[in-house]
Amino acid sequence: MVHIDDTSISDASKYWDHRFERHTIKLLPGDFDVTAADEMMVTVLGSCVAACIRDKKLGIGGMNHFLLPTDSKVKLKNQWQNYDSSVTRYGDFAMEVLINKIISMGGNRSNLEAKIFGGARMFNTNLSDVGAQNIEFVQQYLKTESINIVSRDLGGENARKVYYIPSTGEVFLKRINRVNNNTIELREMRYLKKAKSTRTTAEISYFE
Amino acid sequence: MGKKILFVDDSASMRQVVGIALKNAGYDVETAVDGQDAVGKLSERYAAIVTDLNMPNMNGIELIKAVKLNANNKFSPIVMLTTESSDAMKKEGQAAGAKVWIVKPFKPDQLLMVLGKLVG
Repeated sequence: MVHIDDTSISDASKYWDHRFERHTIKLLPGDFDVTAADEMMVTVLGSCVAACIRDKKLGIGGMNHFLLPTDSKVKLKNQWQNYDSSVTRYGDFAMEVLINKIISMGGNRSNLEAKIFGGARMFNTNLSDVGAQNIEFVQQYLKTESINIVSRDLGGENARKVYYIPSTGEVFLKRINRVNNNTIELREMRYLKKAKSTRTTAEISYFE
Repeated sequence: MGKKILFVDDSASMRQVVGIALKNAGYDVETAVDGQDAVGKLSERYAAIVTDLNMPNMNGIELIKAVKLNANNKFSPIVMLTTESSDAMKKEGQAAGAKVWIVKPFKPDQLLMVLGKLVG
């Protein structure tokens, strides 16, 4: 598991999943990972989105898990023209690190397919309208990149647990009915808070 | 007409983002989808070349080497714009002839600031 950037709040690692009988990589908000092995990835999404992308010929692929730290007062539509906005910096980056890693492991851009999940309207938090913006972003991004979306389960009011096997492209999705605790919301809020406060600008080295 | 910049990246989103930022700043922009595509566009002379590192067919380092052998562009400053942040890769880029290495995520303003210094 790799952190998309220094916004990650995770210290997760691989575990053996007895039900699926596979090594499984657990991703938290701010993480992504790519594998060429017959492994599984799992994540729980509230307002966050996850893109599951793989080279369908080679079976190399992975998943990211991110949330755009947008200002809900600013319409996302306007932010498409504003390339200085956090939308492009966070979102493009989260997608790019995932795709780059697949390509660096031998994947071919023209064989990529995507499955996208998440973006729920979570109640009782100020993340409530962020889900829709995340959905709009990830669909727009994949369209621009000409990456085919072969499956999606987005929006709604329930959190989701998503299992993804990049080698086969299989997804197992479980809707999580409203539970008594607010672990998912709290985790996403913590991530969002961290994302807003961490470095989002480039490191520049001049040679000579 | 503005100074001409060649921008090389395999990501269509990135070509769009950077293309708009450069045009808004008054530059004339040519884009290429990878190193090989860029080499095919070196009959033009560019004020600067901005390139990604990891790309299919020909990567950013190989592109720099090709640019240094190109009569029109061997003196054009080259800026790497990449998610790659390792010192080893930076050294390789510097040895090949890159002038500046920018690690993403970045603000378009930062790229414009760098280009401003290099080409005015």
